[in-house]
Amino acid sequence: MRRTNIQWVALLVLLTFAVSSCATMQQTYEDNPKAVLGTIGGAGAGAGIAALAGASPGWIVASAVMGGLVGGVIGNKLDNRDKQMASEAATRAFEQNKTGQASVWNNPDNGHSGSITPTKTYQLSNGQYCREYKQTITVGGEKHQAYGTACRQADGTWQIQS
Amino acid sequence: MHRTGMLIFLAGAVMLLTGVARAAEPAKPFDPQAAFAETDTNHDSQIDHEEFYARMVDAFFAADTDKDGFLSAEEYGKLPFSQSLKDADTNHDGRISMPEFVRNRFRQFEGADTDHDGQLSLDEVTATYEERKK
Repeated sequence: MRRTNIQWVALLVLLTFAVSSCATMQQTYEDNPKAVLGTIGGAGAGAGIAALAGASPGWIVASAVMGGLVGGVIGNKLDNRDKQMASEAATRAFEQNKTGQASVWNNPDNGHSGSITPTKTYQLSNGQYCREYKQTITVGGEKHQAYGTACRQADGTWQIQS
Repeated sequence: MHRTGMLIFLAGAVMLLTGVARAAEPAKPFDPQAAFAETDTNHDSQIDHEEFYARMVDAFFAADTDKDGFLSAEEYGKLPFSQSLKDADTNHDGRISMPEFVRNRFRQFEGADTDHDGQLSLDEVTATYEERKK
């Protein structure tokens, strides 16, 4: 049975879409580790790896209470304890650490670990402090890295900017 | 019951004494060599303007314990190399902003840069520290 021109065009469009999707996924993983680390959902509640990854605005709550929804390749592999530990480490790092000083977390139950290191501190014209940071997460022996910026809010929490 | 009460009392006494001992611990003395090493982030044995600026911003952030964006007289007084608040408080509002702090510290940088090469060596930092200790 011979295919019509329309069928051939449709097939080509589908093939092109499939190939470009694969390329996009590969690029996301290798070029944008933030996306790999996940995105946070919900109305700015909670803290976690996704928020630290900075894919979208989120809150790091000083009390490290977790409330956000974590997605992404790494986010899916982290349990609540991981996220809580990561959040606490982030709060410590942002609030207390010198630039270049890491706060590390390690969950002995599953071997997952990570670190947050402020890499630059600055102040906005309104006096608000912001800190750029580097984040690493190791899951299953695989190390992932991400970068972002967090700014301190008047209530003492740190909001992820990027 | 009597024994339990004694144990609680002893535990309380130990906690109290430990707390007092901690409170009485002297502040960590400024170590110019350690400070130099931390500041010299590119490890070229010199502190350039960029490294110095980053260090000063970090120092300001750490000293601003209430994180209101300014240093009070008390916060400022706890920093090493801090003289009178008036020296840095150029707009006379009784507190030190980050620009005021950084400007003040860069004046100290220039004073310490005795060979005028725009960078600080460990010798220059140590000499300045020793001079200020006198």
